[in-house]
Amino acid sequence: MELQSASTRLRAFATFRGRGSGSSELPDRRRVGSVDRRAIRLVGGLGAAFLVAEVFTLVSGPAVGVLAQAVLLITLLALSMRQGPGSHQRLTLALALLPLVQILSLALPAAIIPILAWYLEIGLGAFEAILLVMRRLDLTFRDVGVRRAPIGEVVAVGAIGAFLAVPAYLIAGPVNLGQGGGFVGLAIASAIVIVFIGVLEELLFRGLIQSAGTQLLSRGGVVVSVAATTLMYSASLNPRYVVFVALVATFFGIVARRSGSIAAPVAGHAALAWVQFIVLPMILP
Amino acid sequence: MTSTVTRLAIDSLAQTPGQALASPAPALVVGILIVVFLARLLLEVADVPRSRDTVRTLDVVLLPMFIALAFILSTRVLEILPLG
Repeated sequence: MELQSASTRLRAFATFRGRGSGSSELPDRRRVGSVDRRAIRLVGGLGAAFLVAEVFTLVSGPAVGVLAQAVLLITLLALSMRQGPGSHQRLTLALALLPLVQILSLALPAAIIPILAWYLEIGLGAFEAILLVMRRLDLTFRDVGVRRAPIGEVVAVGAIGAFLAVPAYLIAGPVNLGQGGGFVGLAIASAIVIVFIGVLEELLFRGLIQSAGTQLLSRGGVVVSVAATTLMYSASLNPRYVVFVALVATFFGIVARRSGSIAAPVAGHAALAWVQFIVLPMILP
Repeated sequence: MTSTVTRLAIDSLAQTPGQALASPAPALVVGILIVVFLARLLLEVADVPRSRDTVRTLDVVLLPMFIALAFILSTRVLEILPLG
């Protein structure tokens, strides 16, 4: 029983670090180094499709954006069904969450409710979609990096995240989340920011997308997750902030790859978001 | 700003209940939901290979869209109530 448990843990760790069975599906003649050509073609094609949909969204606004993202979403779902079980399907289905989140982000915000509630609305849908993708692919939480990490590493990355909040705040500027006053309002706002920014985004980008990319492209998994993060943040319409986010995502991606866990990136991202959106607006003008 | 709440959405918010009702983005979400829901129902009754996998794949879109529908409807009610 103990041996079986250890074996399961080892398999989950190996899959997250890119040494799973999924990367050896094709004959050697179709592989370039440790990466097969079909995987490179797939990632290149998906990247181009994402770029086109994002350009439509940024240039034409929410209505055309929802249409473009819906077309991309349906295309990715159809492609994943055509691919059949394996690492290609895992990456395609994981990436299908990006247009889905974009659609929710464009359609749900309303002026009558505070921005804090937007996080709750979009985040609940996104969390459910992540769980459904995991169910569809028969993935456990360990497969997406939800596992223990050294406490020293978690604390260190959390502290770095809190420090990085200062440049993030200076670049992006203050955002009024519209939280209520007093201790209860502060606690609710903190919980929503930590769960629906820190945990959600790391589970999506590092947990699901990077692990799928790593299974297919080895170290290229970090590149895939950084590209996905950068693409999603491009709607902030602030090029300096997008570059900053790409650098932070690279750091979190490398940490996740080295440790085989998303615990430290979650701590870093949650600390960054909490200090940026809750603490600094109270301290700085 | 984050990957979910973006400047793009803030800059293009409907400012009045009338504008919100006429806003095409939520309507498109409802349209997508109806299409996916109908496809799922048809697949459930169709006796074709891999239909179960397809249904589970469609669920990835369908269930979050139902959550979105609930929030869209509740927001519209919140916007219309003060007018009455």
